[in-house]
Parts: sequence; structure tokens; C-alpha cells
Amino acid sequence: MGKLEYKTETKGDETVFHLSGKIDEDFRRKDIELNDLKKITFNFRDLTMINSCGIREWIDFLKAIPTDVKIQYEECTPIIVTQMNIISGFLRPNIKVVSFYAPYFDPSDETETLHLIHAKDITAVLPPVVKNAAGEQLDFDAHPEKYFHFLKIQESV
Amino acid sequence: MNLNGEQILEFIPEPALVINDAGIVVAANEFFLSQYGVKRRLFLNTKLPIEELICFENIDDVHLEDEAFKETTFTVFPSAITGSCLLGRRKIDDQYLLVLKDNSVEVQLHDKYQKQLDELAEYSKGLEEKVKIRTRELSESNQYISGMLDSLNQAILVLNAEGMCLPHHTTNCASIFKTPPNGKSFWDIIEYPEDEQPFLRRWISHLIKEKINFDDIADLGPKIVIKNGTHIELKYFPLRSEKLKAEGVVVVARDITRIVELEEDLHTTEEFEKVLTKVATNLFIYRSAIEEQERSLKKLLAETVVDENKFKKILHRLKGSYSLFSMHALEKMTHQVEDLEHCEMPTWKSAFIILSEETKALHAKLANSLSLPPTISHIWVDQQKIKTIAKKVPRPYSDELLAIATMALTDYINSFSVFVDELCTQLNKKNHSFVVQGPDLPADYQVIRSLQPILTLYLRNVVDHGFWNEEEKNNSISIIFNRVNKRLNISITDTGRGLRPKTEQTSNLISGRGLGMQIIKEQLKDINGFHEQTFTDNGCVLSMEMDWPEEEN
Repeated sequence: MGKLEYKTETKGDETVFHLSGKIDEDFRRKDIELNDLKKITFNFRDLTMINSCGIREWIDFLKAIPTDVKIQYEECTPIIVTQMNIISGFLRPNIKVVSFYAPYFDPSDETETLHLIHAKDITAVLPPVVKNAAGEQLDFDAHPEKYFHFLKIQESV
Repeated sequence: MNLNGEQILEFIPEPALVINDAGIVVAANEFFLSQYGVKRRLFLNTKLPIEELICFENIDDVHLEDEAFKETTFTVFPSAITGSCLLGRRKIDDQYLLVLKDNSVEVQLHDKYQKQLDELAEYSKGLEEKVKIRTRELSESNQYISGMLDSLNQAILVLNAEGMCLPHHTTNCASIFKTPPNGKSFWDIIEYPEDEQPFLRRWISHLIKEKINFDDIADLGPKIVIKNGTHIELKYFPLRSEKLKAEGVVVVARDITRIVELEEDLHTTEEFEKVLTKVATNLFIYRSAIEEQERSLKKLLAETVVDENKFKKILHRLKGSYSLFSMHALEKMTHQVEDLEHCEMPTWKSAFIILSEETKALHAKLANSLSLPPTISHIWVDQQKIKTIAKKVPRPYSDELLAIATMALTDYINSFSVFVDELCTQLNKKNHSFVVQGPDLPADYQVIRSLQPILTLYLRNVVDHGFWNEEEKNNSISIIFNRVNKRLNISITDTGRGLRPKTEQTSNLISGRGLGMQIIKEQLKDINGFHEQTFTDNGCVLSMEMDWPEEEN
């Protein structure tokens, strides 16, 4: 997939930007037209890549959005979660993470899967319990404290 | 200092991992795991050799301690992520710390940048080549255009609003204007009179302002200049900008000296042909005219003392004779000699000599063209001789012979109608009728000799001063003659405004000096004649009476 593309979806007073493709050095702020919207949601499910140049551009893009605009992140993939955990500026006071994907491992067949987690379901940095079809509990396939670190950042910014 | 190794590993802001002496992965920071999609469980509970986790293409042995970071490409097997990094290796105790300073993005950007630079270089090269080709084409076109313009035999230069010549001009300028025009003013180039230069300045400035149509203003400029004997024709065109505004004046100059010379030659030839035609169709009168001219010139050349009045009368008569055969060059020359005043005899003499030589030359040329015998007397039919022969042969042969020998007086006088018509054309007047009436009389040689200067001079006066200029007014001449006993009566009536002696007359090439009537009087006196002139509101009548030569038996 090539450069960043998006589709918009309106849900009441909220506009959802479904992002797809890459956020890299070719991404420019003006590529996403916000048109004075006051409630925005970025859906990262189909975003395939973000590199260091892309991160820099994305942070500049966020800085340019007025602080009274409410932003939500939904369906953040592990690559976005990693950036949120380590890069300052990826989360801002007007940004709230609604949902994200978390890696799980099934010891019975040694498969790795991503499961959508709602931020509100996280308590005390414990991953939600996910079971396979046989009803067996899956292992959370990351360091919970480190993986959910962005939730702490979100509270502090 | 007791530092937690795992915390230090996490703090390293690059993907990092630790292997032991045997090459087994011992630890990795979160950066490494999340960046390359590696699960901690892969090495946490099992022995994972480094070769099964990651492969560095340019590194032979990860255990070698190396002070410097070494650039290499790599592949992480569990996630199949490939990239490029600067790999740093450091042995700490019995373990090795590997730090991958990932520069995949830089490498990608560098490659991308390099590719774009290469494309740009290629494009620039192509562009340079195109510019080179276009420049060559443009230069060739310029050469062709310059060559074409230079071969036109025209000088083309451009003037600015101040009348200065711009550097762009054809090479012919130097040869046509006899000076290189670069940086000079137009008036200097064409050597325009100093007192008229301000006009030229204003004219050029108005041409460019174009408040009035360019062509209309251009028409006011100098059209032909003569410089060092070269006739230069000038034409003007606007040099327009993209917005069609006149920004300069293009001057196209042409050397027309040869054309002027040819036109003069042609004019001379045409004039000669006119004379030739007249002579060829009026040989009879020509002889009389040539005799008249020879006689007059002989008289002038024999003079030793200045007598202006006498000279002018002879010259006037001579001029009339020249005009009878449209010998305009000689007519003009005579007119100029007539204008001489208060001159010494040598001046007059030299003028008479020139006139005589030119007259002789013209007659020689005419004789040559018409294949006439060298002596003019051969043209004239000896009337007496024919009459004598005619008496010896019976009729009707005798009548035929007499008809050859003589011309009717009516026909002779009628031949002056062509002369009158030509004078009218010269003066832009119209001759409505020329009527001759009289009995059947022969045009006797003696009579013609006397009549020719009289008719020539008088008819010139009538046309010049008597005839109306106005188209609607009638200009006509009626000549009536009769022989009573041994006298010939001739009356010339015209319907002009009347040749009143007090009428103010202006001297010109044709008449106006007041000599004509004096000459007529003297001429008539020679043949025992007289004249009377009467003026009416409807014109003028000249009545003459003179001897008719005695006929031989």
C-alpha cells in the first residue's frame, strides 16, 4: 500500500477518519482535511506502517490542531501502541485512546492473535482475559506494564 | 554502583539485545521487541541462538568486539522484518551487548534522495542537451534570417523613441548609408539638414506614441534621401511588442540609384522617341524647322557684340522651333540661355556653342535613327524641278507628280493641331477644336519658311495665355486663309480670354517674355506683310497679310 489515504464516516457530531497505508516522509499535514471539525476520531486499523519521519510529521500535524478539538484514537495497532509508549507528543491532552489491539498467544496451538481491547476495560494494568474457542485462557503476549504504559501517559498529559 | 542491567537495557533508545558467549539470546529491550515484532517468550523459556533470531548480512561474527558501529543489513526471522542498521557490539563480562541503531529510514530516504538526484541530473543533462540543440537551431535560424535580410539588398535598422539606432541592424546599413549606424541618430545617419532635425525628432516620437495611425504619420517622414550621389528610398514600419504596442520604428532603406538612372534613361528615350515619331511623320515641316534652327544658331554664333534684345528674340524663335518637335531638353536649355543677363560675350558665346552642338547632335541622332541622308536638303523635294517635269508629261501623270511635289496649305496648317494638343496637355488645358479653312493652295516652301515661326510662336501664346484653364470653358482655334491676287490673308481666331497686351503675363518655358509678337512683326516685314490683332470678350483675332510668291511659268 502506498501513501496515506483515508475515508471519513460521520457519527452524529463526530467524524471518523479511517486511515490506511503509510505515514512516512511523504505525509503532509494538509493531506488530512479537518475543516474546523470539533470532534474527530482516527481509526488506525488499516494503517500498515509509520516510520520516524512519519512520526515527526504526525506530531506536527497534531500540534496544529486547536486544543478545543476533541480527538479520539481507536483500533490502534501494536505499531501505534509502541509509538504511544515511547514517543512524547503522540498523545496530547485533547487525545483519548478509546480502543487498541493487544497480542495474545494460544499455547495449545502456538498461534498469535491480536484482540481489540477497549481502554475502559483495563484495570490496574491487567490485560483483559481472552479465551480460545475451547474456552482455554490465552496468554497476553507482551509485557503488560510496558504495553499499557500509554494509558498512564494519557492520564498524565 | 549497583545498576539493574535490565533497566539499563530498557533505557537504551535503540533496539538492543544481549547474547552470551555461546550466542544464545539472553535479553532484549522492549524497543527491539516491538520494533521487530519479536515475542519475549521466544527466548525467555527456551534457548534461542542469535542466528535463529536475526541475521546480519555484513557481519561474520557477532562475538567480535568492535569499537566502531558497523553498517549492515539484517533480517529478523520471526517477523521477517528486514532493514539496515549500524550495529554496535560490546563485551561486558561474559555477555555481549548488541545495539542496532536502525538507519533503515535514512537509507531508504538516502536511496530515494539519490534516485531523485540522479533523475534530476538526467533531466538536467537532457535539458542541457535540448538547450544546446535549441540554441544551435536558433543560431542557425538567426544566420539564415540575417543571410536572407543581408541578401535583400536592403538596409534594415531599428530606431527607439529618441530616434537612436539600436544595435540590431543588417550589415547592408554600412554600405547603403555609407556609415555604420550603431548608436547614431537617424538624422545623423541620413545627414538630415540641421534646421529640420527637430521635426524628425518629433515625428519619430509621434510614430511610437501612435496617437494617430502609424501609417498616416509614417507618410510624413523622409521618403528618399540622396547621400553621396546615392538615392536611398526609406520605408517605415512599427516594431510591436506582444501587446501590439509600437516600441520602435523599423526603417527599411533601399539603394534606388540605379532605378533612378534607368528612369532618367527611360525618360530620355521616351522623349527621343516622341521627337522621332514627330519628325518621321512630319518630314516636310521638319526640314523647315531644322533650317530655321540652323539659321538662328548660325546668326547667334556669328555675333561678336552683346545685344541682349537681339539674342533673346533669336533664342525665342529657336525655342518655338524646338517645341514644335517636342525637343524639350533643347527647349529648356534655350530658355535658360534666354534668362542670362548682363553677361560678357564669351559667356553668351559658350552658351550658343553648347546649344548649337546639342542641336546638331540631336539632328544627327534623328537622321541616324530614320536613316536620313546626312544633308538635310535631300529630304526636301525640289518642287521646281518636279513642276518642270510635270509640264512635259500628259495628264493624269502630270497631276500625280505635282501632288507628290506639293503639300496642301490646309494640311500644313492642320499639322499644327498636334502641336496645340501637346501644349494643352503640358499646361493641363483642353483644346476643343482646331479648324482650318481655305482654298486649295500648295504649301509653298517660301510661304512655309515664313509661316512656321509665326504659327509656332503665336499658337504657343494662345494656348499659354489665351486658353481657359476651366474645363467647362470652350477653347478653340479657327484658322482661315485666302489668296487674293498675289497676297495671302490669314486670320487666327481663338475663343480664349483674349491676349490683351496689358494682361499681366508670367514668363515660363512656353511664352510670356513678350517677344513672340515682336518676332512675328519682324518676320512678316521680311515678306512684305503686316498684322493686326483685335481683342473681344470672346477671344482674340490675329489677321495677317503677306506676299504670295510668284509662280513660274
